[in-house]
Amino acid sequence: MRSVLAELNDVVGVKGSLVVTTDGMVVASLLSRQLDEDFVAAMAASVIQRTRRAMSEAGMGSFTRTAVVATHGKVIVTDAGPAFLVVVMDHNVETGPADIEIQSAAMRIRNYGEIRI
Amino acid sequence: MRFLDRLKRSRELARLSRTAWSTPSPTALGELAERHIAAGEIDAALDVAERGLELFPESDRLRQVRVFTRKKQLAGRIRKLRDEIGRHPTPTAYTQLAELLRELGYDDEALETAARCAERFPDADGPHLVEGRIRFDRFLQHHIARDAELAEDALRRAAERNWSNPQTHALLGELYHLVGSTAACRHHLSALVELCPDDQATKAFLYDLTNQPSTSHVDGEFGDRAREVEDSGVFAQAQEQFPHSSTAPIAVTRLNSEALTSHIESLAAVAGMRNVLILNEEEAVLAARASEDGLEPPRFARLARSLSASSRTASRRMDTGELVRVEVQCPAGNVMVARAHGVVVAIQHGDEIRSAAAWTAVQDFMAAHIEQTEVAHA
Repeated sequence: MRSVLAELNDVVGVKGSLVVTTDGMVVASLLSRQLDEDFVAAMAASVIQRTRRAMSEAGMGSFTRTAVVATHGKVIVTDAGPAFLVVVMDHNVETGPADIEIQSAAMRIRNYGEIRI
Repeated sequence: MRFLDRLKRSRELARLSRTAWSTPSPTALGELAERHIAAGEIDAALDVAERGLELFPESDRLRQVRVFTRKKQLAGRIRKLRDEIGRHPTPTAYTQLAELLRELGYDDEALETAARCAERFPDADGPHLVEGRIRFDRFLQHHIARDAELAEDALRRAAERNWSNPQTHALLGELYHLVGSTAACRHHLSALVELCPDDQATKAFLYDLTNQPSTSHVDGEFGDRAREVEDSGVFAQAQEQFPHSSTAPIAVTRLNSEALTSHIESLAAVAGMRNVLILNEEEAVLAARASEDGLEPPRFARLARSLSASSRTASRRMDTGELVRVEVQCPAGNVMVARAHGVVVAIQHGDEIRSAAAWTAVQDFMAAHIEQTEVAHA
């Protein structure tokens, strides 16, 4: 799984990526030194849980992808089957070109099947 | 290119410029800037991007133009510094490179360069000063407590390594001033005055600070004070009071809420739109529209508020700054909640319109109703 993240991190603008479960357990991680793994995982889990709850209460079901775009960075969270792929990106780079790579990485992670920690 | 072709192009650009500035929008100004780039007019493109970003700070397109053009301008210097670091690394070269990257807006690369310098030259204050400056600027812009804490940490490291750098004391003094840590502010301004005895403005300010009747000798926890600033959205002390305050005045744009709400149909009419919602800063509903396949407005409003709140907290805590927008995709529909210019605009759209196009539509909708531009400090 780290090889999937390593390929993803080569994409322009990607600062790091990790795979987390919905309760914030890190399955695999490759982040730049500026990012704290535990912190990013915890915050990503919070986003996943709260987004899921909000969408469910609105009757819209599960989400496949969420992007939090902020002034100094972007975080893309993609459903990857038993876990979620979290990609942290530079704010100067458009997500569009990276989206294909992210979707491809999520699919490869999904194909791993059951994830054991 | 022949003279007549150049003249024709020049006239066309002039016409485009007049049109773009008469009814500015991120799209119009982005196109104008890109036309300047295509014409080789890098300085003109940069000017459009910078002026455009004052009006539309959330525009990705204008930000990318600015980064591109400034990179073009600074490419030679950056290459030279990288070569120098490769051949004969010094703290000065690293620090200059980090500063250039910071100017370009490549904060992460600047921080990475500063970190490499700090590892290689542990006694150098330069890299810590660069890191402190980046974090301080972010705190000025967005009032996020984490940025203030990281700024303080970095600047204190810089001061420990080189007590004789006036810039470090000036930044620390201003940081403490902004969170209301008066005793710490006085401490660093005293050091600054010793290093720069001719600085009358700082002397006068320090005198006033020392002789305030309510001056406390105990500041309390810096982190707590920074969080008070984040929660209130307001600095403990006015920035313009501080001598040689570090930022220039900025343009502040607000949206005409009445015009926005009365023209909501124009956004609702975009193909694929199912819900459009406008909230004010307090997240009260100003206007809402829902198509047949959209959610009922009260339900959509609850969804928008929830997504906005959770994403805003996450973006601050994950060190990505202040939330601009959150996008959520699911088989039932796609939701976007954007915060800009004092309002929140939320939409739900189907797959007939791509997220990027939906974001452009939202930006152009907001741009059409900008009310005023006032000049303020950060």
